[in-house]
Amino acid sequence: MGLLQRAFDEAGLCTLSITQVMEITAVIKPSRALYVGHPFGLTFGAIGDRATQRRVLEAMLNAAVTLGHRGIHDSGIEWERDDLRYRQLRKQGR
Amino acid sequence: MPFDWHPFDRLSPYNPLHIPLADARVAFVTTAGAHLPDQLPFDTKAPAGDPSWRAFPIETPLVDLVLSHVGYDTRRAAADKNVVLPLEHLRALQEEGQFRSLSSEVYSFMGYVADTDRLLLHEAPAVAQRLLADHVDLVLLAPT
Repeated sequence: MGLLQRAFDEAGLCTLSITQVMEITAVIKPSRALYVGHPFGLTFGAIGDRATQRRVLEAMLNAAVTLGHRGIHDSGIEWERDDLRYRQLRKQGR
Repeated sequence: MPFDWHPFDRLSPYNPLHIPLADARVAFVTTAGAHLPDQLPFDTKAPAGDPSWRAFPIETPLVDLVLSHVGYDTRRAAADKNVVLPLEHLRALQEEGQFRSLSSEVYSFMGYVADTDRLLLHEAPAVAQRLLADHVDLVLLAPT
């Protein structure tokens, strides 16, 4: 994702991405990324959780307008349903 | 092929949104591996990944899309594609006037690209040119 964003940034486009792993984004260094602590494959929230899905999208739009400088910004949105993200990061689950 | 994260020395350019969001044309780019059933599926078996991309109309119902991806469990997203590709919410926000319009097409990548040269030098710049030609003001990018 960060590589794509870099190419779009270089082309002159205004971009805002989500990152689920700050450490990788810190290496790739795209212009502006919003950290969301959700599991892989559930970027915007759980199945059927339309409120959270919309909240993440609105956070992206808000960040696109308000973040006036480059870097990684924490949305404060975390996954609290179960330990899926924890297991994914330790390669103990998909 | 294992990932070899090539570190970059500096952040890429920041191009501010020069107009109010309410006047902006917004595009969505995903690495969820989404595509139409009659489009060539992403190559989930290539050791170096698949840097190609698919475009489909922004109006496409989520039920009409399929997911080809090796990097995440697509079964959850197949049950509710809004978890990775929130097009229903995007369309609702546009109808509510939070931004002016949506790009003509959604651009979809698979996300697993271990050999990045083709992505950086050819595929991503080609999509960037299409976004510029579509007069997009803001590009939202979402990983899986």
